[in-house]
Amino acid sequence: MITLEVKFRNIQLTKAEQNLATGAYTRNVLRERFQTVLAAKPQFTTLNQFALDESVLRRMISKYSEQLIYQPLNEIRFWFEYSSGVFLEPGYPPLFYAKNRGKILSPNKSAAAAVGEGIAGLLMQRLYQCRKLARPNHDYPDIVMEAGSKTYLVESKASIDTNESHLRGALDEEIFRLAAFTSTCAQLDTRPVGALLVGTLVVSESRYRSLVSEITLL
Amino acid sequence: MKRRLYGDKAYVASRIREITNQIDEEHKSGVHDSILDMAVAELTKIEMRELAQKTPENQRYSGETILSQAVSNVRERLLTVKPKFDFSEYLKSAERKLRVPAAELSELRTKLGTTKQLSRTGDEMVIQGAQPYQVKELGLKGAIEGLLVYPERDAVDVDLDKLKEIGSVEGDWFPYQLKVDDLTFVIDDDGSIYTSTEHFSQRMFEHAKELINKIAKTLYA
Repeated sequence: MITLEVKFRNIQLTKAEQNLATGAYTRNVLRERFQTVLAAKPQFTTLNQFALDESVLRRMISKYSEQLIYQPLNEIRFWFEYSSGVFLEPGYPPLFYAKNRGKILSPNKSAAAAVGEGIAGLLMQRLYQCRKLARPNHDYPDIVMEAGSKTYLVESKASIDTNESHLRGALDEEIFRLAAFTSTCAQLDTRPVGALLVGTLVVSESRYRSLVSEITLL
Repeated sequence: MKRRLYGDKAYVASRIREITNQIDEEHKSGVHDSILDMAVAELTKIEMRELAQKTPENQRYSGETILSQAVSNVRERLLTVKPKFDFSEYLKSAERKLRVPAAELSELRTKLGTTKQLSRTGDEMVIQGAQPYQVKELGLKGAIEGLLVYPERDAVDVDLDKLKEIGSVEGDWFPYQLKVDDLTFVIDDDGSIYTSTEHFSQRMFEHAKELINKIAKTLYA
């Protein structure tokens, strides 16, 4: 059983702020301006915490992830075993894994990405009662979902065994990209479009934390 | 709670109908709608997978053939979904995007043919009834890691309240978790039922199979 804590923020963007996000693609000065705008928006607050059965997560990973990885949950468990130091004890391989000087061992990035995509899909279903419309093949965004007549563009980020501020930084870097893309879709498309950036931090083998940013275009 | 649930293919097709209706109403057919673009590509992808699964193993089927056949089938289907709408640019876009996956599907299809000839895949069987369904063992024989049940038809009528007669239902929306005898079954929005059987003994596996059939019979009754 995995405990999933969900933190949420809603970022409402005016037309001018959407244009700023689009400009941030090409000019650093506009990107910095956008980061200042973002800092003034509401911050994350804890929304919910629930127990998640591994069967559910496995199913969601098969449904939403395009990572070619076998048993990502076991991979994550293995990493936490290694990083907890228990490999020194009897019953574990008596090897030194960082054989090259300076080599830093890191958790499997594909496992983290797979879990992140699965959690993003799960939260969209559970929190927004959405259904998957498309899973673009190696394209942007990760998932396109629908609820009623509204379309949600969903992008996921995930990291294992890092601190939350590291993930928040990565999310803030991603927000302008997703905001710019959503703004373009909203102008071209007939139906209302929203976006969600779901960042998942794998805190331990049994504790995950998701930071959900909903982007609403004004 | 009684609901009609649709398989992915039927669902995406129904959304395409809605989007194109709206495009017509707003006279925006000259603009390339990005969501419609992704939906048509998704429908083509589903069609490609089905073609790769269904065609006879001895029939040569290159990635290009799978792709062009899938695009042609989707074009036919879209004609019934929205007869007068011009999907040509959307289908071209899907064809461009799916060239690489089509080549991969072709390769996998050949390998699957060999694997099936050697009877290395898990069993699958169709259970007949008012709403027939398929039970599939996921994984290779000797390493089955899950069981999946899915309806045979495009749509299935389900009564989620009936599941309470079998076990405890958790969740306010899909995917629901149904707990029976310490096992968790996942009920999803396409009407499918899944359970993980990783590291199960043969006895535990047979018990899980019995339970998933009981759940399917109750859900699809």
